[in-house]
Amino acid sequence: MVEQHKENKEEAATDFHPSPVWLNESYLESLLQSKKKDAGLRITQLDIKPATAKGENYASVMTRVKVTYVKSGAKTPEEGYYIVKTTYENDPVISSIFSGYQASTTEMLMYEKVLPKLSDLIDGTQEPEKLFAQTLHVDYEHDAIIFEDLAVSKHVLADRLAGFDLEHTHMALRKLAKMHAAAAALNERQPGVLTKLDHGIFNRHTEGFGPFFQNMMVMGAEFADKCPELGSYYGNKLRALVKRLMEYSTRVYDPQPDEFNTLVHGDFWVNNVMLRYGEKKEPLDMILIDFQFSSWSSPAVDLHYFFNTSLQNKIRFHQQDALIQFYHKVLVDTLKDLKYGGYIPSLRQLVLQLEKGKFITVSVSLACQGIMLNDQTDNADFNALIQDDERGRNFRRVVYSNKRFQEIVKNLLPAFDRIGLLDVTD
Amino acid sequence: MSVSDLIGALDAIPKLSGSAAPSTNSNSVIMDAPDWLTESYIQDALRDFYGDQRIKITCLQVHPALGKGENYGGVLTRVKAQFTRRDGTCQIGHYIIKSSFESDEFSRNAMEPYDIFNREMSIYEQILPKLKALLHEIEDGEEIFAETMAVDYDRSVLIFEDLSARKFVMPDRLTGLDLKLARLVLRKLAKMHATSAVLNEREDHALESYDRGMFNRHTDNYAPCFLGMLQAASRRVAQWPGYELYAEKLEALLPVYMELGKRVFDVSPGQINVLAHGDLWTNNVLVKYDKETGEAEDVILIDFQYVAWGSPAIDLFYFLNSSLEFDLHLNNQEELIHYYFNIFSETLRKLRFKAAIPSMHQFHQQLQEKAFYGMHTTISILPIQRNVESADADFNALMQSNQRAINFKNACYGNPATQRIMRQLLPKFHQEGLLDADQ
Repeated sequence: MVEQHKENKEEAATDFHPSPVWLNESYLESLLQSKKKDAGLRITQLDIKPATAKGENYASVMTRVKVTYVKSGAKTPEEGYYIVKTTYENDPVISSIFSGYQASTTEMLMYEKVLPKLSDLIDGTQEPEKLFAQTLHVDYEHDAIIFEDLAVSKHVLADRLAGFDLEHTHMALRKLAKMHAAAAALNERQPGVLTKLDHGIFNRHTEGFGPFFQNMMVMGAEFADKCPELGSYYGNKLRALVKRLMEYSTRVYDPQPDEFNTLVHGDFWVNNVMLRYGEKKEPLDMILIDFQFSSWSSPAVDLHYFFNTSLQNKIRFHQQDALIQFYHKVLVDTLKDLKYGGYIPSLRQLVLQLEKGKFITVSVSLACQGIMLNDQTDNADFNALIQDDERGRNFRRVVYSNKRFQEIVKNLLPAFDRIGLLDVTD
Repeated sequence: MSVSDLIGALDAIPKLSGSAAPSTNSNSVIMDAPDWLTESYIQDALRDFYGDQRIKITCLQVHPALGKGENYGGVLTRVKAQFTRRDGTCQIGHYIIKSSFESDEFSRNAMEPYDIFNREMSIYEQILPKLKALLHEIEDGEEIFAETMAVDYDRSVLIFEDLSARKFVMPDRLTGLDLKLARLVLRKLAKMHATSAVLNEREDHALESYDRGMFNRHTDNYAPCFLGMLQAASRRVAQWPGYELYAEKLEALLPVYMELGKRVFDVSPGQINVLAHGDLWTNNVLVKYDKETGEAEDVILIDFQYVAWGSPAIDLFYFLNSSLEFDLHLNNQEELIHYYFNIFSETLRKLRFKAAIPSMHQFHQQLQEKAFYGMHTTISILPIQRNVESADADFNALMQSNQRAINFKNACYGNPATQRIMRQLLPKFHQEGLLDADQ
């Protein structure tokens, strides 16, 4: 949700964050020697290019690396393209919020230990496919992750404003289901290795993002008050709900013993996948990125998050049942392929489990989706999301003035209310 | 002959003024009635009900009340009795006499374990009046059921007021109810459910012994009907291009279908449970329409043969998937459940129900656990209820497996309105996992 400005960097910015000082030829040469198990490896050429524009108050900075090297005894040089992702302490408030979520630690752990193992498991199934960027190295001392540069293989971000059509959606769900299945199998084989990840966007350790969700719900209430199709019935309900928003959302993330749990991506939306397109603009492949908020939870977390941030309207409003069925089939097929011996929910059981976690659709639609649909990027930064000052309120007002978002909210609030999701129950 | 034709016929008979008349009345007309249903029998019942041993019937009309296809649960006889009271005044009473099937051994045997006649009698005699009293407690004068006049356990006979005399009629069984009517029914249902939950609490779980609903753990006697309909559905659906998968899935449900139905009726301890009506569809609802505007004003629920203690889902899914107009059936079920739930929970609160009242979302989840029943009703029950070819529409055709019965069931699925709703909902049921044998 917070990496929305990746695609803007090419446009306006000429001023980039400098690359990390420790990222030099000597560092990279030792690293490659170690990774390739070749003490005689030599770097012949090195291009380091900052990739994150200044002015973006986000937690991570990307640097693009192209390295040409020659292995010992070899004549022809090889090339390696990498992205170096580092934490950047721009704003102490933002930094402390993100560190409360252990965002960078989680992502380092994911790239170092978890994703490679999940990839191995998927490679061993009947229909293997690539889900993640390959990790080169995780440097805990420098708070850095180095992985393959997907841009080289022509991976790009999709259009977050348009939302996914059915083809993209199916591809994303297929990848997600395989990740979920592999994670369940991994935790079965190494009990506890994944269950300790418990710092998702809603968790029992910090409510740093609380003001964001609450402020957005308050603005949603103001919008409802003035909207003829909605009115103060909904405004009042939302205002009353604000104080329980965090608790009800966090309950969805708490893993339940009699349900199917797995490692959820935690921020699964359009901008956290990269796509490779063919000549006719058809999506050929998709890679999942950004694992700062992964946690051991119900798949409801990823599915509701995805459905309420990333789909074209007609799919989101009319085809969710079919999508769940589609996801379920891949999940079950992959779990069986991996000889998973734990509880595998039937489709109906999964539907009921997703219904239990339905509250998260309220928090995600009214807050995250608003930001993700926003096309007015002035003052669109993390501070504006968190603060309850004039600037923050103005920004939220702008978000709620987006026509497409308004239509979605008008549709959703009555649907939420009908099944009791807007009620304060305890 | 339609119901309104019958009412017209009765009203055309001239009224007599009150004067002494011989006991065998030349004004009595008794048509197609059971043997024991004599003027004397009715007179005795009137005397007991009014506590007036001097009542004398001066004019009596007795006719069958329904045609084929409109009732599979017994014999209904309509009675219009003109009688004099002890003080000489003349009174006209309209009654419905409900008695069990007499001659058909097959039907008797099939229905016997469901005990529908005894159950209905005990409901009308003991339970419904107490539910009415509970509503009075909270100053709610809403009328939900017909007044019981007499209960004869020996003959399995129930006599109650004939609501058609108060201008209650059966709504059109073939088009389904509109939003206003649906809400009226759900309002009554919500109050019936709520008062029953409270009654059960106050009377030490007395209602929990009602455990013989349409699916129950005592008997599978109705299996030939349900499974026969399922198979007929599968045969028909297999003919629709693009629907072959659904036909296969329906067929594959056969071995588990009865068990899935029973799970709906199993009492789930963590859920809120009520005395469900058990057969709540258009034909078990009587409607009073406003003379001028033609708008529905009020409804009464009838036919309590299949009451069972269990989830409100039993009534909600059955009603919403059998008795609504097409658009409402497809699009408005959630909204109607929400409407029902507001009244249900409000009534429970007013009556100081002690156990936990679920939140709307909890209730929604509880219902979803029983959603198989919505699929069952749409696929196996609605086609019976919407059937237009009434020549073979009787209990035997439902329960038997002979050619006549098979033909009847196949004909049910030839109905265009039935096909229309099935075409829309089969994909949805499939996507929700409700056609899976392992659900």
